[in-house]
Amino acid sequence: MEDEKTMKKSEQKRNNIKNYIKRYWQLYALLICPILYFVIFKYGPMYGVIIAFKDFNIFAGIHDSPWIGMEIFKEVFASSEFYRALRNTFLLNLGDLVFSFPAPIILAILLNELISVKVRRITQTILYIPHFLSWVIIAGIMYQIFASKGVINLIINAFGGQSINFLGNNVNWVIVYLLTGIWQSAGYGTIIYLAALTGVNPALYDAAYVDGANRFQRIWHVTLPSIANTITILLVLQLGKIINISFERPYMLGNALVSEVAKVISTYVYQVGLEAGRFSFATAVGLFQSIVGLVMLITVNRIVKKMGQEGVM
Amino acid sequence: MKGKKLITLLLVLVLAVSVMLAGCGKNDEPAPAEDKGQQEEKAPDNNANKGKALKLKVEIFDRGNSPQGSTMKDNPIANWIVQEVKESTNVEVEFVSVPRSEEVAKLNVMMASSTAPDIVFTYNQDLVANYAKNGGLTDLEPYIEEFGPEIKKNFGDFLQYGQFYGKQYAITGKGPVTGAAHVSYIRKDWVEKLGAELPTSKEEVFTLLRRFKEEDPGNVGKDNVVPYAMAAGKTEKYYENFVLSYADKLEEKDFYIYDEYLRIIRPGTKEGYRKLNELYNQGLISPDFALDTSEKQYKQDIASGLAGFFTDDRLKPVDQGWITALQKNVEGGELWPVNCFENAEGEYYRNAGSRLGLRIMVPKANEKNAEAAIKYLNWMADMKNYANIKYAMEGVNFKYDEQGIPEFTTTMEDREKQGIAKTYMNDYAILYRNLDFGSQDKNKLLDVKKYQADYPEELISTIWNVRFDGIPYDRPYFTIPVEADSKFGPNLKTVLREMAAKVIICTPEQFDQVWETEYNKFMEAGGSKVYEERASVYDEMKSTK
Repeated sequence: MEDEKTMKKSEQKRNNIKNYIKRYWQLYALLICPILYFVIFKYGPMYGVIIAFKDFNIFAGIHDSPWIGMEIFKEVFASSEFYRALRNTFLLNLGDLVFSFPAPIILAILLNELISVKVRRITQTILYIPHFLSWVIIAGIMYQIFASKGVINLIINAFGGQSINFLGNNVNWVIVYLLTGIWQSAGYGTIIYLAALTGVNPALYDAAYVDGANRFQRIWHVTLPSIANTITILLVLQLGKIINISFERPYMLGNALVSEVAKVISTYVYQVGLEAGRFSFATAVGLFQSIVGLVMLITVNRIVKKMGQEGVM
Repeated sequence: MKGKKLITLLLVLVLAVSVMLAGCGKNDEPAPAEDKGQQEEKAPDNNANKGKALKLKVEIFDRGNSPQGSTMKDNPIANWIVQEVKESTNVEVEFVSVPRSEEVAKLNVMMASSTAPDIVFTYNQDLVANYAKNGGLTDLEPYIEEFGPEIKKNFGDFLQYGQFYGKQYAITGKGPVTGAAHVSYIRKDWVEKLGAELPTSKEEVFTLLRRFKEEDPGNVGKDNVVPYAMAAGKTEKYYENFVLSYADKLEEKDFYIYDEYLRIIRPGTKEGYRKLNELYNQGLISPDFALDTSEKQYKQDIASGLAGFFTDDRLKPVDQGWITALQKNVEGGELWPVNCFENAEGEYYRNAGSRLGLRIMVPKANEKNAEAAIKYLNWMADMKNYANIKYAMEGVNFKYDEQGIPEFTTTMEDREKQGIAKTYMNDYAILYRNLDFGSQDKNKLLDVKKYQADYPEELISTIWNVRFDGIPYDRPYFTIPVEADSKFGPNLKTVLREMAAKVIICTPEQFDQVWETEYNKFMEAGGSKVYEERASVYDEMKSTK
């Protein structure tokens, strides 16, 4: 009796699985490409991190280079250049977090409040065009605007003021760096928030309106809570990336005079790893960066979950 | 939706047009047809070489300055080489272009992934030593022995400069004695307008720089004058001669230690930087030079006639046509070479241009093609072939005079129209730095003749005189590679250039402090290790001699 039951059950189960596969195999087939992508381009290259523990000889290859344990890491942690790069990465990213992160939220809310769809569309397009410019071009524009004989200084001079060294002074440069970042990414960043905003039930606005909420109150009590989850997720991702910094932006905008604040991990890895050919050293720096990034991501995610939000994992 | 379609259509059109244009470029070249005739005549001599053609990939620097319709793979010189080499050695050459500005990074990647061309090269001695140490290069000796009689004959002892750890891991390009590596140029017309003489000392230069700014002899606007033009490319040429004139006299050992990229911090040079700092703060130096890594602003200032004075590679303003450009933009604009940085003894002491050219290598992974590589280089070692590259083909762009010295029959502009960029001749002619007639007079004549279609004889011969007026010395050469240099050198070069920019630009009050911070950074980044190892390698070298 018992046996029969289990037999039946397992058979049923098998049938279920069969049916399930029959029904949904296309969905899994669709997954194959992205998974392959991650295996080949993201997980496969991870093999290379062992370079950080080897005295890597580019001709012998990764496998045949001799192991040297933590030697390279000792050297990395003894290097003041590394700490400077680490500090700058944190500071520049923190600056981005404080100033660039809220920008798209504010923009999205403003755009959302626009009544004319046409105006909104046009504004949106204009705002996110900079996202498609490469940093090489943006750096060129910055130079034209902020150099000693750039537009801004010419204006200052015309009013009898002294030229300001925007690009050669550490503090000024950081400001220019952050402003450029906002200009480049804020418009594009609004897309996600605007998408989240389209999902808001209009009835909520109507209800708030009927209750006598003014425009600002409606934003505060309806709009913001509806995108709070999106904001949190993006914030988590952003915090997790606080030790990762893109290469192009600091590399193109930076210059010799501000290397004290402009040399970040990515550019340092490029300079030491590729230009100076010290692959083990660069890999060790990169590995350290990834581990800290992972720890950051997990920690922040935990905190967010504790706060009652959804998080990313 | 409509907008999208329009954009797509536009993109497709642009693509189509560019493909068409590229195609046209190919058809327009008459040169190969002419060459064929010549080669058919030659063919009978080379029957011995027939058989299966050897394939060879050769690195070539791409400076991104190819004229319309030309590429590094497809231009009159490249095509001529490919055809000639095939005819005479049965080697099929294919050029692989590598961007000049990121040559080292690119080479590192290609070497690591075994995708490098069969012939690769660099000026970077440390890099080669590093490759040699890691066993990444082919020992060329047996190949030179078998396939390189011309190389052996013309290089002789010079081959030692390509030896690392006792093996012939490279062939180092050979060059004639060149005098000073860098030469200063001044706007002669401005000097004359001010009623002054060409400067012969630093003090005179300072006075002139100040007057350039205050009196604006070029009428370009006082705010626009750049009395002393500088940039921040990957070189120290802008200030090296200047700070060297403040350097202390050195013992031979220190000469070795403070060579190459360490020259610019020889003991004593600090005062030179202090002076530059003073000039900068008086507004006499390009205000944004430290940002000008591409030299764009710098070149523009020179060509448009805003710059009064600058120091650059000895023939750069001539080779690159800056002087011609200036004359086009400013009537009567004239750049003139001067010697004006005297040292404490009153001598014009500059670093000599290196006689060593490119370090040409065959990666270990490509050893199977070493035979073809040496055959190719051996072909180029022949002075006739070399001159044909260096002067863009006899009969097309040059002829030999009665003394056997080649002279251009066309101007730079003519050649540009043929699809030959100004730098092509140097970039394809990798084996020597220049032709060498063994005598100073003849070599001088060579230079004069080279530019006679473009420049007056007096200018070129003055440049020559300036180069050799002063104390020439043989550059020291470490026969034992310094490993700390391979390891830290590339990074230290960047660190030092940043240091120079910072100490020049800071306020005079901050100078000492900035100098100290930056110098410590340099020492920490490996500078101290380089000092130590160079000293010990020098001792080792002396004891084995």
